[in-house]
Amino acid sequence: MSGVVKLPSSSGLPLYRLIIRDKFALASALFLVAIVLMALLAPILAPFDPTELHLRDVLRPPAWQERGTSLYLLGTDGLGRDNLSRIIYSSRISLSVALAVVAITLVIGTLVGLMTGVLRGRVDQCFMAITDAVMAFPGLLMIMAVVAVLGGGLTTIIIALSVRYWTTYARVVRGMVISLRETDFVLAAQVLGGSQWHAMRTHMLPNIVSPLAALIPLELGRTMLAEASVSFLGFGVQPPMTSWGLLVGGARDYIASAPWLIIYPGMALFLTILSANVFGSWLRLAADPMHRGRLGT
Amino acid sequence: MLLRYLVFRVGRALVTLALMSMMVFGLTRLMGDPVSLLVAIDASEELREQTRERLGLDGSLTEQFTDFVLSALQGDFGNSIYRSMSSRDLLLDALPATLLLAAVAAAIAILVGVSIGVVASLKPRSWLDTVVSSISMAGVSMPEFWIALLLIFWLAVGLGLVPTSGSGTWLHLVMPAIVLAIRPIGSIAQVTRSSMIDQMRADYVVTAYAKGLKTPTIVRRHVLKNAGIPVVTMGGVEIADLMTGAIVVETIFNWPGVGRLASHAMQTIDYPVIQTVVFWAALITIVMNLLVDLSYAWLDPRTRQETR
Amino acid sequence: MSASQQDSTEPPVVETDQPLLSVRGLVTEFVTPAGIIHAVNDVSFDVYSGETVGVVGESGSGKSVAVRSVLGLLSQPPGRIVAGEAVFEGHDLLRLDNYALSVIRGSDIAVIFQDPGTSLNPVLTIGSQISEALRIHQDISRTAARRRSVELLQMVGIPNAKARLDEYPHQYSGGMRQRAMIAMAMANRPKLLIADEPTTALDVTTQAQVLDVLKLAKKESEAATILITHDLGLIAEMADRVVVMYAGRVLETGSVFDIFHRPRHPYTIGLLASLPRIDTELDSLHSIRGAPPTTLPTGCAFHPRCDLGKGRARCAEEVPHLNDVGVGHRSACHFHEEIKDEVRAGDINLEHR
Repeated sequence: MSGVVKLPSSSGLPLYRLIIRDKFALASALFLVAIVLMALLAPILAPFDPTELHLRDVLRPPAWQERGTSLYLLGTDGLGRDNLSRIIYSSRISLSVALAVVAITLVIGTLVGLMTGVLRGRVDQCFMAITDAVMAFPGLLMIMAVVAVLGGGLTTIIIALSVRYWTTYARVVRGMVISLRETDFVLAAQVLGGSQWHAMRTHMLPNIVSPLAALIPLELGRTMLAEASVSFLGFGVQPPMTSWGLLVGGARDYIASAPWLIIYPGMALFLTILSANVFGSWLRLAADPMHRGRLGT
Repeated sequence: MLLRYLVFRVGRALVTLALMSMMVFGLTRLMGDPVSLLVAIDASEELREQTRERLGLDGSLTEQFTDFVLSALQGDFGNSIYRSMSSRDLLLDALPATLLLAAVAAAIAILVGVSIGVVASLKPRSWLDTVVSSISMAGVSMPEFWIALLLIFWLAVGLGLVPTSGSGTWLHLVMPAIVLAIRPIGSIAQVTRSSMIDQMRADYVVTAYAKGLKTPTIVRRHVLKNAGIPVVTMGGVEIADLMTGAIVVETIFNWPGVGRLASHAMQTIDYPVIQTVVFWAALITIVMNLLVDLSYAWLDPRTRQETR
Repeated sequence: MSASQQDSTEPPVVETDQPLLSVRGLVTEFVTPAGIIHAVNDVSFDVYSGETVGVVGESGSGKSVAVRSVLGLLSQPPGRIVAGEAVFEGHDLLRLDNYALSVIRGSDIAVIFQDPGTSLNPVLTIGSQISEALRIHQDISRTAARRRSVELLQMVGIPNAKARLDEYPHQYSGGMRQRAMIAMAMANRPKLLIADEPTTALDVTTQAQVLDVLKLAKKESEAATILITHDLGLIAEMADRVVVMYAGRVLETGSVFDIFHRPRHPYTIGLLASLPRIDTELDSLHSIRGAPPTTLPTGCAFHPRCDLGKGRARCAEEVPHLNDVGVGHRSACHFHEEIKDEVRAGDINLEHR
C-alpha cells in the first residue's frame, strides 16, 4: 500500500546475507561456482583425455543403459571419445569465450557510452544511429558474416560476439550518464571548476560501476547461448576445440542412435545459462538499493 | 503534431536502413570472393573476370554500392548468384513460410505468456508464482537447438506423433512453432508478471477496491491496460525476432523460410540474397517499432500529448 | 495553517443512540523481513451519524492504517489485522468476507484519498470512472449513469462538466482531480465518508476550494465523515470531534472545543503549542523534542518525549488507558490531573523552556 506505511528496506544488509534468503539465487550462484571449478580442474576431474579415441568402444550409451559401462559414464561418441570428459573440457571454452566477450564489451561499451553521454550533440546522434543499426541487424547473421570475413577460430568468434553485443553496455552507460549529468552533485562539481572528464571520473563512474557489474551474469548467459548456437551451426568454435554447442552440433546426425551425445552437453549448457540468468536477475535487483524491496516478489 | 512525429520517425528509420545496407554491403564484400566458389579452382583469370562482370562485381566498391542502392529503390535487389531467380523473388517465396511459423509461434507465446504472467502476479510468492517464474526463467535460458533436437527425438522419433522435419502439413508446423515459442513465452511472462505486480500496488487500485469492485473486474478493466506498455514493448521485440531470426530452427526442421534462405546464402556468399534478407530484417524492425510506439498512444492517453 | 479561534460556544454533538461506526481494540501490524511493525495498537473510537470526526496525528501515527483496516483496504500480506472489531450498522466489518465488503464499499462507506494524481486511473476517462462507481451499486443504464456523472461533476464545481467528462485525469488540475474524487465518492450517497488527507497534496489556495466542496458534500448528504489529517487547522474548521493518535495509539479524544481549549494530554498540548500564531510574538517555533518512535516504547508511547512525566516510572512501565476527563472527553495519560484547566496554546508553561 503505497504511501501509507514506510516499510524498512533490506538495504542495510550486505549481499551475502541477502542471497541466503533467496534459495534459487543461492543455488544458482553455487552452481556457477561449481562449473567454474569444473572448468579449472578439468584435467583432474575428467576421466579421459577428451581427444583420445577408443575405437573399440564407439557409440557406447551411458553407464546405466544396456551396453553401457561404468568406464564411460555418459557414453562415447562416434570416434569412441568419452562424452563426460568432453563435456567437462568444453566448459573451459564455453566459459572463456563468454568471459572474454563480456570483458571486451564491458570496456568498449563503457567507453563509448561515457563518451557519447558526455559529449552529446552530433556524436550522440551518430552513436544512436549506429547502435540502432547494429541492434536491428539479425544477430546470427551478423556473427556468421564476421566469422566468414575473419575465418573460423576462437579469436574470431570472440570478436564476432563482441561486435554484436557491445551495444548493450554502451546504451546502459549512456543512459546512466545522461541521467547523472543532470543531477545536482555533478552540476555542483562543474560549478566548482572541475573539467568534464574529472566530473565523469570522480562522480559518475562510481554510480555506474554497480549496475554494470550487476548486469554481468546476465550478459554471460546471453553470450554463452549465442556462442553455442553459432558453434552448433558450425560457424563458431572449431575442432579440435570443443564447446557445448559444438558437441551438440556434431551429434546432430546421431539424434536417433545416440541421443546421449545431445542430451548431456545440452543439459550442461542449459543449466549453466539458467544459473547465470537466475543469479543475474537476483543480482540486478539486489545491487540497486531502490529495488531491493522487490526482492522476493 | 502527429505528422511531425511520424516524419521524424521515418527519417530515423531511413538512416537505420542506410547504415544497415552499408554494413551488410561491406561485410559481404569482405567475406570472400564468390567467384572462386563458382568456378573451378584452376579456372583461368579470364574466366574469372567474365564471371565477375556477369555478376556485376567488377566495379569499385562505391560503384557497386551505388548500383545496389539505385536498384533497390526500384525494387530490384539483384539476382542470386547461385539460383536463377532474383533475390527479391527468393525472399518473397520464403516469406509465407516464415510468416506462418512466426504467426503461430507468436500467438502461442502471447496467449500463454500473458496468461501465466497475469495469474502469477495475482498471488506473488505463492507456489503458482514460483512455478510460473521457474518456467519463464527456463524458457529464457533454453538453447533452441537443444530443445528442438530433444523434441524431435521424443515426439517424432520416439512417439511418431509428428514428422521430423520439412513442411507441408499442419503437423510439420507443430514442433518448430513450439520451439520458437519457448523463449518468448518466458520473456513475455516475466514482463507481464512484474508489470502487473507493479500496477497492483498502485493507488488507483486501492481506489477501485474502495469503490466496491472485486479483483477480477479490477484486473480486467483497470490494471491490464496500465500494465500493458512494457508487455507490448517486449512483444514487439520478440515478434520482430521471430520474423527475422529463426535461422537455427528453420535449419534443424528444414523449414523453407527466410532463415534457411539466409543460412544457405551465407554459406555460398550469395551477396544479393544476403543483402535482401538484411533489408527485410531492417524493414521488419522499423515497422515493428513504429507499431509498438503507436500502441503506446492507444494504451496510455498521457503519451498522446507529448511531442517527441 | 494556524488554528483559527473558534466561537467559545461548544457545538452540540449530534448523537443518536448507537454510533454509526464503532471501532474497538483494533490492532494491525505489518510483517516484514526486517521485523514486525506495530502500526495500530489497540485503537478505539466511535463515529455517530452526521458528525465529522477528525483523526489527527503525525506521519506514522497509524491514523491512515487504522481507518483503512476498517474497510479492509490494506494489502493483506504484509498487513495483518490481529485483533479488534469495527461494527457498522450491526455488522463487524473486520469479520466480513470480500464479497460482503464490496457491497458496502463505495455505497455505504466511501473513501477520498490523498493524492488524486495517483488515485485515479490514468488510462480511463473521469466520466467512465464516476459512471463505474454508480453502476457498481445501482442498476442504471449507461446513459443514466452518464447523466448523473455530469450532475455530480457540476455539484463539485467542475466547469463545462459535460465536455470534461470524457477527459483523462492528467488533463485536470490537482484541485479538479480531488473534486472529481469527491464526486465519485458521493455518487451513491454514502452514510460514512472517509477523507484520508484530502488536502495534503494540494497547494493552499486549492485546499480552500476543495474544503468548500467537502463541506458542501457533507451538507447535501448528511453523511458522517472521518477526516484524517495532520493539519490542525483543517480539524478546527471541519471537525466536530477529534481523535488524537500517536504511535498507533489513541491519546486523547473529545469535542473540537475541548481539544483546542482544554487539552488534557501532553502530546496534544505539544501539538497545539507548535502551531504558528498570529496573535503572539515568538522568537522561535516550539516543537516537541525528539522524534516519533521507530520501535514502540514500553508503557506510554509518548513518554520518551513527554515533559509531564519527567521520568516517572509509571510512564515507562504502564500503558495508560483512556480516562474520562470531562463529558465526552478522554485522555490516556497517567497524570492528566496535573494539567491545569483552560490552558491556551500560547500560555503553556513547559519547564524546559
